Amino acid sequence: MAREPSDQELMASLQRRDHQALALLYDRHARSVYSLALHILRDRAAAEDVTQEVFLQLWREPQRYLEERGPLGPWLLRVTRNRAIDLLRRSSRERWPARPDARGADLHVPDPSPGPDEHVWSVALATRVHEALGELSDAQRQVIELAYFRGLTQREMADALGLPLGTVKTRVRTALRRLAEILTRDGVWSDVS
Amino acid sequence: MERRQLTHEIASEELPAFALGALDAEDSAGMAEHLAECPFCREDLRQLDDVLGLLGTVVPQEAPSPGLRDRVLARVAAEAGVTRTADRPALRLLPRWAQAVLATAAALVLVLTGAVAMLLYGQWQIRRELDALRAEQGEIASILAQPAWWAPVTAEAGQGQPVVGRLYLQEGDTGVLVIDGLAPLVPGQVYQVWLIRADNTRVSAGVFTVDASQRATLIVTAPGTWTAYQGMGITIEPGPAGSPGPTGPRVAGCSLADWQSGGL
Ligand SMILES: [Zn+2]
Repeated sequence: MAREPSDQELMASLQRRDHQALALLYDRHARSVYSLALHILRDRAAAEDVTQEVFLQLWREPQRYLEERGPLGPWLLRVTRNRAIDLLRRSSRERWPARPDARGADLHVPDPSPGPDEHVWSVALATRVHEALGELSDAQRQVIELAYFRGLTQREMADALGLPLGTVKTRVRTALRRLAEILTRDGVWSDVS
Repeated sequence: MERRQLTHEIASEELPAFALGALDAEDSAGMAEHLAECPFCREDLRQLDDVLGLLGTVVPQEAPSPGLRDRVLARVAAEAGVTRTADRPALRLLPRWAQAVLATAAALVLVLTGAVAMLLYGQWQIRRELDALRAEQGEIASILAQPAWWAPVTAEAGQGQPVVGRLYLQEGDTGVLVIDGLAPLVPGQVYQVWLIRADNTRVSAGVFTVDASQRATLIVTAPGTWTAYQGMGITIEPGPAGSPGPTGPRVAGCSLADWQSGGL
């Protein structure tokens, strides 16, 4: 059986308007895209809308990805996260900041069994990222959770957690810097592409 | 207001929060300015963005419904077939600055009584961006200054959001649709404008979205001339190209019988 085309090769086909390339990319990445949107929005229909939008945008404007360097999977998740957070903020602006669930990070290692068409990249990586998160303090994980998955600003986090803004700023800064350090130290990037 | 210039040291400290989208709007704007000038911070941001991409893997995994794959691929196939016509939009969504032009026109509207005009005027803010006006300014301004007709655009009965607007027309095929109070759409949807022929068939006049202010100001070009149509309707359709015929709920519209002759 022939080697599977890489994401980069599929993106090149996509630019030549090859539908089949989008179908393959969808099969590879839709599950992780949908799962992230669902985790943020907690609504299946909204998560499917975001997933559809992410892949249609990839089809319509592949140059948006091609202008940036790096592997496709994490890039798609970044786009997904930003869309989902936009939607979350728009739909809950009036109620925000209700008390977000500030107890602690509810970050999970995904189900290790990938779907039949699932590329294994996200599963292998999730374990690495989860381990890296484990090296952060609870307080650091909490601000990452609230900012990344709930879309809270530093000011909103300070209100929700009853902390001085300066404390939240310090936590956000040290948490993300530390996470980047650990992932680099562990050579996670060599697993991605 | 003068914004403080960020030093590289401060920018570097705030970059993680910026990457997370956790800065207030004002601070974000300051960061964006600094990033435009600082290659070190741009590279730093790129690496933080990579980390944020990886972070998205750490959630419980669940597959979307199989139907979603079919829908996405069907849309792609449909778009590939209609790209030519979609590239030739009959209707353009004007940038924000165009509202400044309309605000000037709206000041004239004020001399008329009428809730529609008052409402529209009350929600427009005159902006100091006139130096940014480009070609479309003239087109909109000329239509609004001397429209041949206008028609009130009303909400469809039974729809939740009040919709008020006007369709201003010139002889021939050009008009400006000014509409207020349309609900924000979920991702992937657009509002689509339909012109209704005498035999009740619908012709698409383009698609648009509304911003958070729920306003839109657009140039509408009728295929043929306005005299071929008895009215206009707006429906919600899948984006970005809309549908070949109306499929979604009608949210607003106007009737040819309601055309009023004359200007503002
Ligand atoms: Zn800098």
